[in-house]
Amino acid sequence: MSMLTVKDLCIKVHDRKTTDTLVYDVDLSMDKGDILGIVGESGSGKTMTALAIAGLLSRHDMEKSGQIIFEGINLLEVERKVLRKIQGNEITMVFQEPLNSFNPLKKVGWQVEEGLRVHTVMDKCEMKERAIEALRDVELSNPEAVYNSYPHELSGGMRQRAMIAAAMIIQPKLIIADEPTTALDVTIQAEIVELLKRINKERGTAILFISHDLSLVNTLCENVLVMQNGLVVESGRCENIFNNPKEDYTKKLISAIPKNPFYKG
Amino acid sequence: MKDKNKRVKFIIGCVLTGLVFIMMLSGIFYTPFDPMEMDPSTKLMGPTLSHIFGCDNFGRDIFSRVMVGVRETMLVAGSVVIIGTLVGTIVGTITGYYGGWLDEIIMRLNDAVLAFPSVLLALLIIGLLGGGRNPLILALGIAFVPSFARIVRGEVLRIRNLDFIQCVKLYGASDLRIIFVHILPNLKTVLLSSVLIGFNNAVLAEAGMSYLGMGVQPPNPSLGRMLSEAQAYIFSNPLNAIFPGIVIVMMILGFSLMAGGLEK
Amino acid sequence: MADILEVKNLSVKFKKDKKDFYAVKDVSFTVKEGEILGLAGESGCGKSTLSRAILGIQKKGVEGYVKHYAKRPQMVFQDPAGSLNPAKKISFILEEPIKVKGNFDKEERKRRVLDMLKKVELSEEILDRYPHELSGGQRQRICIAAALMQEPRFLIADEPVSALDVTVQSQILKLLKKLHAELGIAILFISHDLRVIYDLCERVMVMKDGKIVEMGEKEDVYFNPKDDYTKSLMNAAKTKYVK
Repeated sequence: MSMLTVKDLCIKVHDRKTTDTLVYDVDLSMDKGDILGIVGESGSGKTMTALAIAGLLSRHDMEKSGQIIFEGINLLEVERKVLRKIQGNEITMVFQEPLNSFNPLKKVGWQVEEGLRVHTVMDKCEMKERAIEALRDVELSNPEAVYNSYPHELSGGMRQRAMIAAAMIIQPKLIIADEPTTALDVTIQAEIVELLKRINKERGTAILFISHDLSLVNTLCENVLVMQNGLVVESGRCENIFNNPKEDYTKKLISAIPKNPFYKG
Repeated sequence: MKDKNKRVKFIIGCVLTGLVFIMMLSGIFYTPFDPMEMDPSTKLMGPTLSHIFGCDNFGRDIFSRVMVGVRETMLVAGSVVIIGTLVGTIVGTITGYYGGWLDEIIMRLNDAVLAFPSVLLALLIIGLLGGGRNPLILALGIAFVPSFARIVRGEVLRIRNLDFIQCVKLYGASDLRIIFVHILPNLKTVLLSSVLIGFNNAVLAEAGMSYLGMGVQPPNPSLGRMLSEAQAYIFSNPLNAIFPGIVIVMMILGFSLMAGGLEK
Repeated sequence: MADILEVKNLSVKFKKDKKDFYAVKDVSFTVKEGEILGLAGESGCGKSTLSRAILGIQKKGVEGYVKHYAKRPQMVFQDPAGSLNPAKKISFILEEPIKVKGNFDKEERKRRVLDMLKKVELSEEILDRYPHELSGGQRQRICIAAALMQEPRFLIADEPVSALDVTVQSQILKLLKKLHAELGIAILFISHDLRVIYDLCERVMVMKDGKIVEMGEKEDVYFNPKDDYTKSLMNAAKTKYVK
């Protein structure tokens, strides 16, 4: 049985008199330790899909149908108590803009511990130890200093690493990363991608990587879903999609990628 | 669902405002009784068929007085808002666009006027110019300028920093052109809401000032003054106070509901 | 080829918390007529401050020497949202540059606007619309069209495609290439995307912390960088885009 199976996921928004369908019939599946990418431009529905899996779409006017089955449990139908044990614990999320995703008034360390605080029973010392360890794991050179800093005191890259630490600390089975590198500089982007690769290899954490950058997804993921206007246009192994795109939109997307001067061949 | 609420709000607002308007307009041409005519036989009479709102302590028909009083209030409130908006826009635009020491000085002056209690300000001006409608309009107008100026200045600052203004500067457009052709048209939304709120505040201010005796002088009717005169007789005939009060409430509520119903 | 812009020892000083802070430090370079010069740099390196100083938009704290050999250089900005006047129709926005400068009558202005629309591959009916009714790509085309109305010889494009979807990005870049070939304008092209700069530009400058750390022909800068920062930048680009 695969770890995550999404079947026929539809997300509709009811706004005044009209109903907008944001996501139509999305199917995807992930096994333990997989790295899956979802690629699409604005309005493709990729973020909505990710938010639905992460359980962050509880607005009453968003209608969700279909199945999101995580380890045998349908996240769309199960009761809130069970949901809260899974979301934020076994499934965690990393966002695009770490400045907005951290509480500016609380120290970074406190926020990294949050997962432990909510889902486990640990005393303060142990939590602090774990947090500093997590910060060290994400290759921050001075984890104690970072623990005691406020979000605005860190650089963009450091904040993003701290966010990944916060997502990793409760040892989730799946991390959903929504455009985690888009707001970062090129040099840092490469490092974050390497970090995610390493986490996946060493801990076996599955990663669902959302991006508009097909070439970036190609460096990280084994499989990819291409979405456009709420639909999955094409899906499969990265190499196949890249070298042998079947759909027009996928071809368009690939040809739109600027030529890479470093790519020989 | 939200739409229905807004529509209901708007309609109720229109009805209330409409009623007050009709009262005011017809008051220009016809009132059931001469608002100044005193009739000792009808002193403090309650509502009857001919005197719908009853009569005040001088035997004057309240309904007729209210009709004329509303006109006063609207005139004063309207003029105050016009002064506030015009002067406020000029001040706000100059300080927002040019900044620098001019901005500093004018805004501090602005803050000073804002902090000054409007009642004292009105007293000061009326002391210098005498009582009556025009000094009141001047006093309230001055008191209203600072808030308009602040709002306009904030918006001008925001717009001035947008990229398209840089583009127009690069075309070689003069400051005057930038201000009048590019910035001012973008102030529409902000000004509209300020004017609506300002009008309501002006109505209340006028009523308050008249109540204190600083507006229209007797025997001319004014809603605020009627309230103040009715105070003494509140136990003999409370309706004397209630009717002008209700009309004030109708004006403000009506306007607010209309504005609320028009919001996006 | 003649110079169209000369920049010598340009610095921009800001006061931050009572301390002097240089956003641009001693920058010198020239732009030749008709060339596309690339400026690569990450966020916060000072590239936007540099462009504003060059164009004279930056009022305070500018030290150094800037000489334009072109009349009234123009700029294309990154964010199509703030670059167009929300209260005006597209027809007004496109006519404005030639209303402000240039003695053209109404007919002539209309003719030039329609001409420009064709050049940026948009149809006439867009003239009646307002900026918020346009897509990101359409808005950027209008920004480019407006910048070209006065027939400038020099243009600064500050991350003109970064805010656009990938498929739209490539269209706009194609358009820029086409316009450059047609009109021969010199462009200072600023971007953080090294692939785009390589594709569009002949000479490249790399900026970090307010300084130009490397400058030269693109082959040299990309494949034979001398500066350490440039080296790390190119390495990152290699790993980011190649599996």
